[in-house]
Amino acid sequence: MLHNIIHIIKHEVLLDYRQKFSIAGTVLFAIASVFVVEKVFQEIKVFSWNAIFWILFIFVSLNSMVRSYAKMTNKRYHYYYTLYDPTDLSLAKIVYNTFNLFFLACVLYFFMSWFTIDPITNKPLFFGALFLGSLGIGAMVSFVSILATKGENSHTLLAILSIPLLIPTVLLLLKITAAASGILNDSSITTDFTFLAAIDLLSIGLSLILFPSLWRN
Amino acid sequence: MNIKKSWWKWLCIPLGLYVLLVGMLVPLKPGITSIDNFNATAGQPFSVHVKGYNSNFDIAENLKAFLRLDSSFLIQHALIKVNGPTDLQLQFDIPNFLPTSEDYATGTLILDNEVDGPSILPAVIRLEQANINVQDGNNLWSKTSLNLASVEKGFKFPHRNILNETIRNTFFHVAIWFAMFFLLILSLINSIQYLRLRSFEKDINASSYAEVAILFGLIGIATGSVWAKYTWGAFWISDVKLNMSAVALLIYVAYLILRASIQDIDSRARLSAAYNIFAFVAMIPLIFVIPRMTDSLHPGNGGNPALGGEDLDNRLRMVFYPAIILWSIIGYWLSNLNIRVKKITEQLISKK
Repeated sequence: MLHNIIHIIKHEVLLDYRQKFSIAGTVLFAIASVFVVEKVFQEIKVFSWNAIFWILFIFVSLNSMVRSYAKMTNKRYHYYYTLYDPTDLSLAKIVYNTFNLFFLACVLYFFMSWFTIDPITNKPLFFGALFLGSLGIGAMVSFVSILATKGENSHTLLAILSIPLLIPTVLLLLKITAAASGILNDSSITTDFTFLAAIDLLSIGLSLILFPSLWRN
Repeated sequence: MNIKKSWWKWLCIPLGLYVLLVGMLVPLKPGITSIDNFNATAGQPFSVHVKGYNSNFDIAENLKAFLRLDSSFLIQHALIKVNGPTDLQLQFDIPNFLPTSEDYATGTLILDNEVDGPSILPAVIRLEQANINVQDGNNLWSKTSLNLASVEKGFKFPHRNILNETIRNTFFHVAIWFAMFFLLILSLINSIQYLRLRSFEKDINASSYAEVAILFGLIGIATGSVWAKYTWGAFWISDVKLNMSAVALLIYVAYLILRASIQDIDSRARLSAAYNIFAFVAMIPLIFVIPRMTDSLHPGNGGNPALGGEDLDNRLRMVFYPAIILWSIIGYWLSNLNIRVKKITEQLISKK
């Protein structure tokens, strides 16, 4: 099982490496959005920085997820179908998407702090939240993007289906980031972390249970 | 119509009449609507004009009024004048010192008579003192426990300040959301069964229940919004429970959009069943966990009691539980009609 998962992840990385323009496009999207934010806001407050960061992150990750499943053509589905167990495939997808999103979040943070300000004082807390957030958003959006790619107008559908599902995660992330940037003095941050992890586990578990019934046509 | 088979539809009529008539016509217990003076000073007389609600000050003979601090200290009225059945003029002689080491205290106004029973207006009067003397304060305020008249005449709903008559909305706003959860659970069960059995009928059931549940959700939000206007002062406030409910509705509206955007019948059924399960599980933290973690005005969250304690007394329960059954049956009925319409439409399409 682990062997299979590693194999699929390697395969995904290879595919992305061959289509460099695709991942470069997502990174460029992130940089361009940050530049727009810098131009629009001139002087940005810490609270707005937090909000803008997570809004940009949602859109960057939606963009990247559409890319991730658009490349799964029907023929490739058949190929995977003969090779792997659906649970392995969805686990591998979640792991790959999590690291993909974590990478994008780091890129976004790097450019946000370069162009505007860097309000984050508690770096471990912030990166912990980034990782758990990437995991939750990765699991949820990879599940929803399977649904969305089957429908018409998949870009809009992906946004409509996943944004309401992401709201609890994003609210928790916003609270943790506010604590990490020192504008919120809250002692219950560990509760928020546990809760975030619980939502992540819930969405991973649901994806694993529901994916097998989704992927075969 | 076969009465034995559709007995639950007939049950709707007495239940509906009961909920509407009893729920809307039973009077509230007497209470205090408003007072005109909120500030008292130690050592001075404090006179206040009290407006009662459903009260009978003119008939009652043994009128008493108390000003209570904390749970133990109180003084009785010095002067009481009845202007009408719901109109009262009171005067208290506030002692020179308050039984507290702070320069102010909060007082509760209690009215009592043998016809209406006690009416309470909690923590509205602010008492101030210039000099602090706890010892004298303790002596000047009596520490006797209150012997209030216990009047249990007739079937009446409790009178709560701020809520007043809107307490009847419990039978609509709260009960309709209960019915919505009942329908959503039915929809979830049908979606799970679809994924296991792949029977097309289950898909029609799941979508029909979900549609009626969304309708109930919208009605629940509308009734809650009106309730909020008359208790909190605005139709919509930025409260965690309200926001999360709106998000939960968005998730389910997205379910309808997902269904509408897929043309192929089989993949529509499969994908929407999976999304329905995901949506239901995602909704549980939204509505039941997050609002309880933060402060909220909505009952049942952030330390506010909901179905329990003083808010839902046994008389309200006697209408509230039938109301839940009533709205659940109506929702189930509506969904069944919806299912039948969909099945007939499918048949007509396949005949063409």
